Amino acid sequence: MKSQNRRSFLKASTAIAAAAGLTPATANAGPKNILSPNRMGVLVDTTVCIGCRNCEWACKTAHGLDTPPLETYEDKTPFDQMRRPDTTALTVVNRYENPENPELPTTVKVQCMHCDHPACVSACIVGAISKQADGAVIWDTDKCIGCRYCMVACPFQIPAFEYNKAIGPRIMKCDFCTERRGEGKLPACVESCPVEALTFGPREDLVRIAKDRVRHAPERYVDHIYGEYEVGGTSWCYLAGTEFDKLQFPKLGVNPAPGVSESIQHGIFAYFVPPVSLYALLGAVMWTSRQRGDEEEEHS
Amino acid sequence: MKPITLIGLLFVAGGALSAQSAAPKSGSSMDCRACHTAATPTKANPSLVACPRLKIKGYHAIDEAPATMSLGAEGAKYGPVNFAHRAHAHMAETGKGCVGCHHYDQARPIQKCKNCHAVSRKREDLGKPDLKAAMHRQCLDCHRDWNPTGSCASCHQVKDAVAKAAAKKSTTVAAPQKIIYETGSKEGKTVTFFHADHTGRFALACAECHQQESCRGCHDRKRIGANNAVLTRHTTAGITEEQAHARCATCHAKDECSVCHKGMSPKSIGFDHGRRTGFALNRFHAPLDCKQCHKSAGGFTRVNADCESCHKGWQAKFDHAKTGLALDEQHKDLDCTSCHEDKTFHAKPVCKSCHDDKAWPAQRPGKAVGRETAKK
Repeated sequence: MKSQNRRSFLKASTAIAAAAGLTPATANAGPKNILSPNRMGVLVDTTVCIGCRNCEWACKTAHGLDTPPLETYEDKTPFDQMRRPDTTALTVVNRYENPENPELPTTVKVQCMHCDHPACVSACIVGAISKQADGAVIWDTDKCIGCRYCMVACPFQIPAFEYNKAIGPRIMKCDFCTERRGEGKLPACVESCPVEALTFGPREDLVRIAKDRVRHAPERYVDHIYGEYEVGGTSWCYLAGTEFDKLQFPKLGVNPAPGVSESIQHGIFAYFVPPVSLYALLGAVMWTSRQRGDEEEEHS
Repeated sequence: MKPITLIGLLFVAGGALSAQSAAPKSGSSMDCRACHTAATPTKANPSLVACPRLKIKGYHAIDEAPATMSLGAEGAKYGPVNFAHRAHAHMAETGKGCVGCHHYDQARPIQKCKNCHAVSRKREDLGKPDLKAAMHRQCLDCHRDWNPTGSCASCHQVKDAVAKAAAKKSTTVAAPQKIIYETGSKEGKTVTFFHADHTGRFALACAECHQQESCRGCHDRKRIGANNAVLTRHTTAGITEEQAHARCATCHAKDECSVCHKGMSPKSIGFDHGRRTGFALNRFHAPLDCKQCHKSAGGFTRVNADCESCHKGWQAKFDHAKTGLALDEQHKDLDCTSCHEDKTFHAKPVCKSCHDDKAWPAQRPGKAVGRETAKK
């Protein structure tokens, strides 16, 4: 009885292990285990933003990027075209028409959303991008091999690559001012905002505050906190007075973005498919070529 | 029994003590009733008023308020704002009043902004903006209307002399000379409001007419330099008749309509008095000015339809010939209600109560006369 028991136990456990190992990987790349409940975030209230672009200037200054003096930012002509964060600007503010008051357009700051389950982290094959316990998604220049998978994976199309640099090109994106915060300072953009359209704090508090704002002024906001659930939640969350798709926010589901990229990657590599198929192919080539050789020998 | 009574006594004493502590402390400048509706609010039932945005009423006159204030800290490029507080307070009279800025400020004395808004942006309570943001939001709420570039120099003192010279100030108020309102009726098509006369000759303060006004209503960028403009407004666009009249009614409530609406009567403006009010105007009432019957101030209130309410003792001296029928000797001295039983004088008279064989209008109690002759 005893040995039988052990045998059946072993059988069962191998079966379970096999099932677990062979089940196609579901979206588990989100580093759930390291997400601190006190992780930080920023609440962007686009109904408060006045489009002064001080945050753009502060970001460039804090990250040692070239920038003209602050006074030149009073010029509003950059708003005439839609801009994206790139290697020269880690954050940009875009302007959208406000149907209710054409004189006061809506302005929206764009930067890395610092996803709770970042697709870039999941896509990075060398682990150069990582999600920090405090919420930040940061990039390690020593590990990066420049594959740019992160750029493809990001649902917000944020990471930018220094194509113009032959030696030591970097991936550039908002780093949540990790260095500044380490010194006990606020992120540069948050500190520079004259109207505190950007509120920095624990993400949980920010979501609660955002809900309070919507509840107290339902006429001012649409009842949606962008980033609360999008792609599994983001550290940066947005409030707006108009529907988010009108402000060019991508319409994303609530499932973490790595779910898509990982299932593709893991799908390809599951069940030893690439090596097995490679050997099968080589075997087939060998087999056909040897047959042909035999035939040729017979004929000669 | 004894210990129970003792405990009971303790409870009563405790209750009395706690009630005492809830009573206002002497010398406190706070008025409990600013927040609590009950005289002795308890912890269980604090009976709080619908907090927090209450109106500040009668705390002090505007001229007791500081004339100017220096707001904001000294920065590298910009100095503090020389805020013309009193001027803004006067302007606020036409809008939300003191509470427009001094929100959450129901208790005397008026609170400093930093009593609630944290000086540092790095803080515990993220629910309300920090001091810098609160002030910027407060000012920009209106100033952004006419300063969409958001230039810092339009409020802040600028250290750079060149930038100082270029700094734009807020727009001046563009008061129109006169405003022509289009009423949408055939007669009395327009009402001309002589704005300059009201502000100049009659020296009316803005707030005497302008209430619930937005800043933009006066500081309109598009109307800069339009001081001598003649504006045309459609009263019917977006506002009710009552709202259109409300501003003028403060002074002109007792005036006849024709004071503003030249040559105006209910008929001339196409108002179907019979259908809309149930009191059809006969040929004598139709040409009258509205105010001759609707004497109460403000809007048009219902007038008692009984003739006596306007025409006191009319029956004694009424000349029936004016209706086109001169009464004969037999009917002349009868009481009006003998024939006009229900006091509706324009309806058919009742003959049946006296004469079984007679009926209006086949038989008449007198001689028909022409209206023209009756008038003479």
